[in-house]
Amino acid sequence: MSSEPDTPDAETEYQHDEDGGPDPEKHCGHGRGGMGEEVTRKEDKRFITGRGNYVDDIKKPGMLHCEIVRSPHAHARIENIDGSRAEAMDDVVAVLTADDLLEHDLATMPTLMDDTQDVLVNEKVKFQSQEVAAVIATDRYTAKDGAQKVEVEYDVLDPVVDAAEALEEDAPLVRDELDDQEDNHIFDWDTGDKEATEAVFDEADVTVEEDMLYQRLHPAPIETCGAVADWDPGMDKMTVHMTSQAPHAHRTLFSQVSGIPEHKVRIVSPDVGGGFGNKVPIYPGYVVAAAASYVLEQPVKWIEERSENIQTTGFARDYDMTGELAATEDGMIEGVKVDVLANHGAYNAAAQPSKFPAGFFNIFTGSYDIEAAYGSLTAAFTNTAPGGVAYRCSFRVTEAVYLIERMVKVLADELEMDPAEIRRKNFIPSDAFPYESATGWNYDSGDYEKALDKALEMADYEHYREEQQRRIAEDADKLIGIGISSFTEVVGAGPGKQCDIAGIEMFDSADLRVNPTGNAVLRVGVQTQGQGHETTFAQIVAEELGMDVDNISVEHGDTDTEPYGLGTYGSRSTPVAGAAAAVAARKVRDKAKSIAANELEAAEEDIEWDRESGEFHVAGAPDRSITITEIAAGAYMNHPGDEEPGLEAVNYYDPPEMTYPFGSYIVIVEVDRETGEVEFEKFVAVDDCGNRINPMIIEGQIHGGLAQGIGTAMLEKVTYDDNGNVTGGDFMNYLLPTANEIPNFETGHTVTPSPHHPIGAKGVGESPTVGSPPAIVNAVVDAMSHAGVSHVEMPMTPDVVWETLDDVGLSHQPAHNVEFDLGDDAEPADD
Amino acid sequence: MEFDGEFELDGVPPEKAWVVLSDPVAVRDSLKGCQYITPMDDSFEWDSFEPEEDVPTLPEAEADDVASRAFRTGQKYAALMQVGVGSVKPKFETTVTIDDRDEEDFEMTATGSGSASGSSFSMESGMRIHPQEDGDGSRIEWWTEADISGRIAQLGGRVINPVANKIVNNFFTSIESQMTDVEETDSGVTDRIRGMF
Amino acid sequence: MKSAPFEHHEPTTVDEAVSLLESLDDPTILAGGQSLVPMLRFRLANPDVVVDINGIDSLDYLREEDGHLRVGALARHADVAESDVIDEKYGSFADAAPLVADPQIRNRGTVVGSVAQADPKGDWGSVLLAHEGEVVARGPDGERAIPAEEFFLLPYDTTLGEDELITEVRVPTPSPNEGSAYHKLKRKTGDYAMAGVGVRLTFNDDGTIESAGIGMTAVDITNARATDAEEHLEGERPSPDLFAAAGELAAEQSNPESDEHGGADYKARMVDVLTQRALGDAAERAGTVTVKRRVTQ
Ligand SMILES: Cc1cc2nc3c(=O)[nH]c(=O)nc-3n(C[C@H](O)[C@H](O)[C@H](O)COP(=O)(O)OP(=O)(O)OC[C@H]3O[C@@H](n4cnc5c(N)ncnc54)[C@H](O)[C@@H]3O)c2cc1C
Repeated sequence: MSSEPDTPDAETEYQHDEDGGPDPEKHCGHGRGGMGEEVTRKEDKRFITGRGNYVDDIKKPGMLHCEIVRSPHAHARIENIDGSRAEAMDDVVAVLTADDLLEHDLATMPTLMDDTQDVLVNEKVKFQSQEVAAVIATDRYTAKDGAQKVEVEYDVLDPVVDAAEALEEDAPLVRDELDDQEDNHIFDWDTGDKEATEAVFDEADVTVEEDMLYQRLHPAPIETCGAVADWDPGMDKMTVHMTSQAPHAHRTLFSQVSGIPEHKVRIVSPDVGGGFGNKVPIYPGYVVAAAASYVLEQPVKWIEERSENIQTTGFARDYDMTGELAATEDGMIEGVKVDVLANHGAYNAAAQPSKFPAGFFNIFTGSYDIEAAYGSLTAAFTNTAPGGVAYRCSFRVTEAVYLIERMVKVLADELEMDPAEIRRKNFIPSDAFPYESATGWNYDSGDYEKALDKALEMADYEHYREEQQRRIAEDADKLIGIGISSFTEVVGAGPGKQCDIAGIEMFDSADLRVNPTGNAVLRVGVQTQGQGHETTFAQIVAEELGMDVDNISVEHGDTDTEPYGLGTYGSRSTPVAGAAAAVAARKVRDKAKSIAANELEAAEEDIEWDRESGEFHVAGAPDRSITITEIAAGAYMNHPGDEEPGLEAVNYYDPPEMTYPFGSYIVIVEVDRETGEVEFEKFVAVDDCGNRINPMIIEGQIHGGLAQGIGTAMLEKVTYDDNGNVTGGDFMNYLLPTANEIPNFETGHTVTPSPHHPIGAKGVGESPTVGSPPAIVNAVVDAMSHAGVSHVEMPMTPDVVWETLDDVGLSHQPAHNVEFDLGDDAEPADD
Repeated sequence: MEFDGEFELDGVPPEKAWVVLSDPVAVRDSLKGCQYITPMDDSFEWDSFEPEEDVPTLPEAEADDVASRAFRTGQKYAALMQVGVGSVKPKFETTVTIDDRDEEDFEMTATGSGSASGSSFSMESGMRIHPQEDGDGSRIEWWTEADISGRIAQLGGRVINPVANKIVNNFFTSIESQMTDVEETDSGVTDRIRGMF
Repeated sequence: MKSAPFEHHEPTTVDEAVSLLESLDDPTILAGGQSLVPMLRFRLANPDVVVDINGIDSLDYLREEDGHLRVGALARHADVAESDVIDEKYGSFADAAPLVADPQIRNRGTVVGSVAQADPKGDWGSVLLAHEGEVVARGPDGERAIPAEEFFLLPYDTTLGEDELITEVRVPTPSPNEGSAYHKLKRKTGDYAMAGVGVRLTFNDDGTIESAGIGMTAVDITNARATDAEEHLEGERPSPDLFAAAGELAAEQSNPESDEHGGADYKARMVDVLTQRALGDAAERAGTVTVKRRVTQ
């Protein structure tokens, strides 16, 4: 088969009802579990019945356990490591230090940003809990006992944990081992047209400015990182089961680090209990486990503890930002400026496509048609854990969305305009797509006003505005705040011309085989950590091949069997691998067409595909039809002479552009003037992710992401004291929201398909984490903006909110509005 | 973190207090949770070291013994300390070096560091014994600057400060009773010991 | 949980437990494990010997008896939350139980363990202080009742002897003219208090306050009583102003530190707010007043 598959044409392939929902009457939902159907997740059975298979479930004969010795200091030179007391213990097999790794050339590893990180500290500890030595023992308890016996002598140095302080002249030098590094400055980056933007600001009627910190967060997946490494000296092959969001990329890196040829490295990412960007980088623990297995010729398991995960693995955000807007008197935004100080920790180990040191932060013009934009950023080393991973977002899009959505609220308050109105005024109009932003992004499609209108209606916006005024007028104890965020993301990295990680272009892949008995296996290069790929991708194939979704299984996560791909993060799976799956299915369908002609004894030109019934039939003779399930046998048993046997296709999909999901979230809060507590009164989320594959999975993704957005806005922050001790390094202090903190969500959607994506889909898993924090902060600010409050920093714990209330004279004492009724025979209370 | 304080020892003259506070065994006995304080060299092994039990202190101890084991400037000591509150009682393997001893002004300074349970601390401490202004006893001034890292530091000052204060208070209360015993010791003995320092 | 190795004893009677505590070297008692196990896990606690009291069935009770509410050493937080004995009359208990930690921890953790733990951020100490309750301990020399006020020394440090076991905590059964309440401010479910206040008000027949008890959480080195506020209330008739003055006095007497749970000033302010709120509830529960908000919200 040489002909190209059908050209993607999302608009005509799928149609929608008036609300933009899937329309079973039309093309979506034929009852086979294709596009638009709420198919129950295939993975749920094993997860719900406790049959998932996570890294820590893997047990191998003779398996040893690895425990890592970590530095209590944030900044210290290692003078000596003495492992003899641990080695003397029964059941301790080995103690590894940097010296041992040096022998095998495994002492360092590359980060995703081309920095070099110590696997075990060679000379100097650069952040608290950094990996110093490893103890390998026959069970995990002894390994831990042994780790306590390793004696390390440190020469303790002054640490610097704050990025601004790190850039001061006399700051301690974090990276003195780098020849060209004389300070803690990593890089400067800028975007947009500085001069043009300055000119717009000079001329503008109004300008506003606000400082805001997007605090350091941790993705905190419920499963921590871990690996079981198994060096097979008979096969000269290294197999590593590990918590990886990107098994193929990790294999390439593993091969580069270890020198073991890539085809002799197998990475398996089994069930993964949440990744959120945290499992994109390579961590020393993986390498240590592999090195230990290589040296000892036995399988070695390393499972990270919770506090190790929070304290040492890839954090997210930590962008200290100043935003500015220039606008006309009547609220037309003309220019945006932003300046960022980024804390990258002790290594430059952010996970970004390599040409984007600040990720896609330059999407900060958001959903608005802004003529002039300029952004600048400085990144600094500090004595804190390395990171800057894309926590449930496309690279740094969360920070950008927060900035612009907060600034629009600041501007609305300055101009005393309704924040919904000012957004409407400035949206990129729906007929302006494809739209090129001032910072060079090519937006594929959007209808921002429609999503906002829908959200306003669902939120009963006008009612709450009136209620807000009533509370203010009556000096009530609880204030109402209404926050809006009309965000746009850029996801689906990405086109090879723009995006690569460590040089590898960010395509993705699918390999689809229909078996002789008519069921199919789809193998994809991405990997799922809870997103439901096994269901969603099967639905794409079901739709394209007219097969029942139950007859399609999806495999992923094993580099020995899956086609090469870059992994799952940045909402790229559906935009890239989903596209690959659709294209591979169309290739299969094209090949099936010739077999159908053969089976139906008609000319190939006369064979038509009926999406509705999921069958080929002969033009003009609908009852002469055949399904792909029926064709499959023919492909193996009776294949046309001019075709290869079998029914299989592979697609490596290089997306032509990114996709741009969007939405409008409206959050209504009550703020307690006595305590500063914030309660959610209403939480409305309207999302547009283009064509919707499984609405139930989308809903689940939105709920989960909103919960994380609430955690971000209200609770979470990784904190350090001046000595570099992590003070928010466990779940007692790093506060994840529980079900009790989560309000009832009201979700809605609009559908604006991506014109360039084969099935018109855009990716949705990250919209809620990206879009909700500014809506929540805007709501809390809105409750107090009548008294002049323009910003509240996250996390907005009660103390932070109360201090703000108190500063502007809004705090109340309980006696304020209270009267006592003492009953008839008692004296009046207020004498 | 900085801690300091003062402590009065009624009836014990500075000379005698100095002798007691110079005796590692007496200090060990007064420091709750301290299993031993012993001079260490490079071959010292924490795992196998067995402290001698029931070593007499003044007034029972021999003057020569007390003098010969007294803290010496520049000497490094190994101390095994279990400190804490409630069920949190980490065992710290601590190394202390006496930096300076001023036999005239009864001032001693030391630096130390220790680690336990994923935590470590380092400290610079000192003490000076003054004659009581209104009495014949002593006034002991002490100060410590400690840096705490790791797990324990993550518990925060809320826990560490009261615990540190408790340890010091217990120490001085207990040393006071030892001093009272020494009080009964002939001052000739303590003078002799001081002479041997 | 990778604790250091320890020896595990499982007595089934109090006598057996007490003799184990006496004979073993430096034993640590394990009740619900919700404070001890995290410490074992961090290896901040490294006991050689653990005496696990979960097998002592006779300690699993929560009952009203002999003029007291008696909470046995194996009564879990969840037992208090679900108990029929705990109603309006024991308002402070009913309020506090569902505010402790999170549902999982409440299913295992015990009230007595929480008191024994003596975390200044623990909730039950304040409830005991407000009710002038007692901690009942059994040791080699028999039983003694320690007034709550004399029990707490330092964070995690109490007057309990090393070979003593707490068998129960108890508070006097309230008179009909009594009401109590507990208010706690936290950042999320499972978080310790930013501040908490437990109050008890006992009224005279003429509607004046006979006696008041106020215990404060997380604002001093131990759970602490707000004695100035208590005294100010006694003999007075409830009013918003009186309670506001009591709140102010409690705040003044509190001694909070700035930490991850908020600044010292904020916490002191919250002592004030929570005291007023809890006093209002307690007075209402005693049937003396109805608290009305002038504006509904
Ligand atoms: C995440 C988290 C949040 C929490 N939040 C709160 C909160 O908001 N409010 C609150 O009050 N508590 C909170 N706790 C603590 C919880 O209440 C514990 O249950 C309680 O502190 C200890 O009770 P336990 O039965 O689990 O005791 P254990 O953990 O078994 O023991 C705790 C200590 O008490 C000693 N002990 C236990 N029983 C006895 C006894 N009968 N006699 C003598 N000594 C005994 C033990 O030796 C140990 O030292 C929280 C704990 C966690 C982990």
